[in-house]
Amino acid sequence: MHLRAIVIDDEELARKRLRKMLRSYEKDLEVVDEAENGQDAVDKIETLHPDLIFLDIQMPGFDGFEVVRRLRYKPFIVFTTAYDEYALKAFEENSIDYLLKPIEQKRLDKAVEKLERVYASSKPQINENVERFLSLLASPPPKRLQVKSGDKILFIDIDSVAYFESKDKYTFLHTAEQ
Amino acid sequence: MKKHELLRTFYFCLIITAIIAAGFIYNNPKHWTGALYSSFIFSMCIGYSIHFLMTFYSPRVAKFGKILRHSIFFFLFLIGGLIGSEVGLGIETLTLGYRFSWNDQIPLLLMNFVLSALFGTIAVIYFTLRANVERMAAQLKEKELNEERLIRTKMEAELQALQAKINPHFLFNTLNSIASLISENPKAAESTVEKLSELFRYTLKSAETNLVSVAEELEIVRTYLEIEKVRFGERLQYDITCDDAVLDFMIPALIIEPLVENSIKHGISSEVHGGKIIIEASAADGNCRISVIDNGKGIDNENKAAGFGLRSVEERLQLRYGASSSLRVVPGERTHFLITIPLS
Repeated sequence: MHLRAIVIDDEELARKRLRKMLRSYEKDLEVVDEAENGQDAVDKIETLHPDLIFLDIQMPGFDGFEVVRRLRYKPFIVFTTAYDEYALKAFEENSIDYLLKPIEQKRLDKAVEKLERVYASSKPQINENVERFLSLLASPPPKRLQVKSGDKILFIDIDSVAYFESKDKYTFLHTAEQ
Repeated sequence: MKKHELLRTFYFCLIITAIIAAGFIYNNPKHWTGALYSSFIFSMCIGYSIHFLMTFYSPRVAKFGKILRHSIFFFLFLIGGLIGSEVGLGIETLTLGYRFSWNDQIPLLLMNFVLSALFGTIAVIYFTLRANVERMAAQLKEKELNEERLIRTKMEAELQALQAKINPHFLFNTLNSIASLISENPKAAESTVEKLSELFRYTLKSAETNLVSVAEELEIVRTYLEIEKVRFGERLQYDITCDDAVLDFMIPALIIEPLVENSIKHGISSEVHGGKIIIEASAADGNCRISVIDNGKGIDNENKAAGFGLRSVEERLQLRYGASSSLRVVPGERTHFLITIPLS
């Protein structure tokens, strides 16, 4: 097996570190290039057609999610992020591979192992998860909200919400009436 | 006219009715219905006459001395007694068909005067005492609330300062840079760890000591920017200038740094080619003026409160200096935040 990879991150030191860590897999995995922003990433992926990308989420220009949306050619994707409390939960639920910075070697080992396993069997599966995840991110907001009012649960139409108020540890929903 | 005051007078008059009627019935048990009826009519008529006179006049005499005020009240009770008695007599005449000659009226009026003065005084003493107790209770509660609010605002400000610094994005990205530098450039790794410690120590200290000199705050801003420069490299340029006149001027800790952090977020990390952050501190028109400028897309005053760190800066300024200080946006091509603090 020989995988061709691109490392995408806007910080040079982050790219260097990941490349250095990936050297231990150089038999199976070759970093063919790196990119430092969203546009750069899209251009290089479309021309080089790598098997795999390590993709930072927060980047100038447009972010990692937008990169995936714009790609016509879809490689395997491993997201990297320093901190992203919303995305992490969604990653877990959709079994998408991600690495937290500073990346731990053990965690990287697991990701590469998993990749080799899946690559051998069904290539498209991981990306299906990514697609589903992205469509979740882009899905329209709910039409109604469930709100607890005293002991009752009320269903409030999004359209009738006047404003939200953040107070102590609660968020209060105000409609035009109350 | 407050409804509960009218009701209060009604209850009070009912009690007087009961007392007077009891007196009459004790003397002449046979005519108990008449005694009850007359006591009720006169109590209510006199009671409400005094009530309306008092509600009208007592706010108007509040500024007078105690003796004068109480003399006026006493006079009002007599007037109220007179008016109420005459109205009561009118009602008795209409309902019972009695005819009262002047000779009949005089003892009645005299008695009503005495009763009016007596019960009026009791009522005023009672209601004044009760109002005092209520006011004191309200004041005590208000004071407690205020103190609680002050403590909470202060704690929130401290907590926010800490949370803003332990910004997970900043922390983990910096740790990642350090992890990379350890093999790439051990000297730089070492110095970044030192700077990071310095920044965190300053943050922890700032929760205790509230005021620092402009020079100290600018030093920590420089430390922070040097850490970010490790991450962003050439994409981050900065320039710090400070008038000698304000170097030793004391300001709340961590009041410039959050603005610089904001500039990193909107002017550097989101820009492919990065940018430059300019920090200037100067004295002008009796104020210490601190500017943080970046070449981000600009911002207007309405949107400035969006940032968590910025709001905290504004709140802490208001808390300490009130309206004489401000954090505002200077309109223009670039994003320009201006802090103004009075020098004296």
